Amino acid sequence: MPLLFVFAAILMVRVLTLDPPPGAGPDQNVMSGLGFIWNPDFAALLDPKVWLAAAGQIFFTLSVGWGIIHTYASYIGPDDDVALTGLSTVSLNEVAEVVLGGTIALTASVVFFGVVKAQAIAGQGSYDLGFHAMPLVMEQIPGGRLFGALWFLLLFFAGITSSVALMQPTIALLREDFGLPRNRAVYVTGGLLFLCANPVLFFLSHGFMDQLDFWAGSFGLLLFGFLEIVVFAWVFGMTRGWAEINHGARLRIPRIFHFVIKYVMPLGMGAILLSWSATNLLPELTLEKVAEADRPYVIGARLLLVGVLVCYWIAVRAGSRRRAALEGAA
Amino acid sequence: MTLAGWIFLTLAWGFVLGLAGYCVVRTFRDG
Repeated sequence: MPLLFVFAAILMVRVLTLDPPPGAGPDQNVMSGLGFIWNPDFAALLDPKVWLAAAGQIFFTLSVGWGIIHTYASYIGPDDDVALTGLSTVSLNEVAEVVLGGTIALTASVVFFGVVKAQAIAGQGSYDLGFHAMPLVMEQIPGGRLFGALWFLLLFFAGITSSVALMQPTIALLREDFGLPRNRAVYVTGGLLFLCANPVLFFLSHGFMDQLDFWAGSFGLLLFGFLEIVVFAWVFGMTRGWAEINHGARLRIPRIFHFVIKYVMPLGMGAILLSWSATNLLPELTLEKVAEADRPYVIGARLLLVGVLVCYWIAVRAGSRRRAALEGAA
Repeated sequence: MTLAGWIFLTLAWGFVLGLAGYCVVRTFRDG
């Protein structure tokens, strides 16, 4: 992972020193790229879609709301400094995202394609911009093909390690609640994941991936993050929660965050979910903006998501009953 | 790139780099 940071820093410097390509338009330069990212558009703050996308993005990159952070957190000992560990994770993640990632892919896209085309490519799919722009950036640096291969290899490892963390709660469920040995739990989880991943690959051009990305990777993260903060602050309780956060912490957390966690976060996240749902939920559910040819795939993606959720619900309930029965028998 | 864009860039980069730097220093100092 430190190697990825080093490569990213090298690439960022290269992107910030890129010359406009031959025959470039007036907006195809580094300054326009930075302006594309950083020039504020305050009118956008009135659009609930922007708030949902921003919240989904930050939750996605921080691995909050979909099991990954729980897996990492489970390795922290009871006396470890949760406050400093959490703050370090968040701040280093934001350096990677705000300083390195955003600068590289977005600025390079504007330099090579211009603002309008970069927006169009971004609109075609969640990950298209990076995969279109990065190979072009690699061509501009000495040994670019080697760097390019290494860059995508490192990204692959970054992705697969996150996938391992993402699978871990399911593996733990199968092991602890259903008594499966570790290797069988891994085979079952990996097999199910393989089956579910196939339609993503085969129907990528029909928006299958984008549906999963939006409902699971944006809306779902905010929804589950909202449920988690309500459970933490109001069910577990802030008195116990605050004691947990501060236990073993050498970093003194300002008291204002007690108020922020208890009131500001649930209210803010609830407001985003409600305002987005009020204006966008019905058009989304009725497939208003989906092309006729893509509708079966979009419906299939949604059915897959619902099916996965229902299966998890049944598995968690059955597992809890099985564990309770075993504990009762003991 | 407008003046407001530069202000946002400076604030965002300064905040995340400063916070990350602080965390790295605290982690090494406190062990």
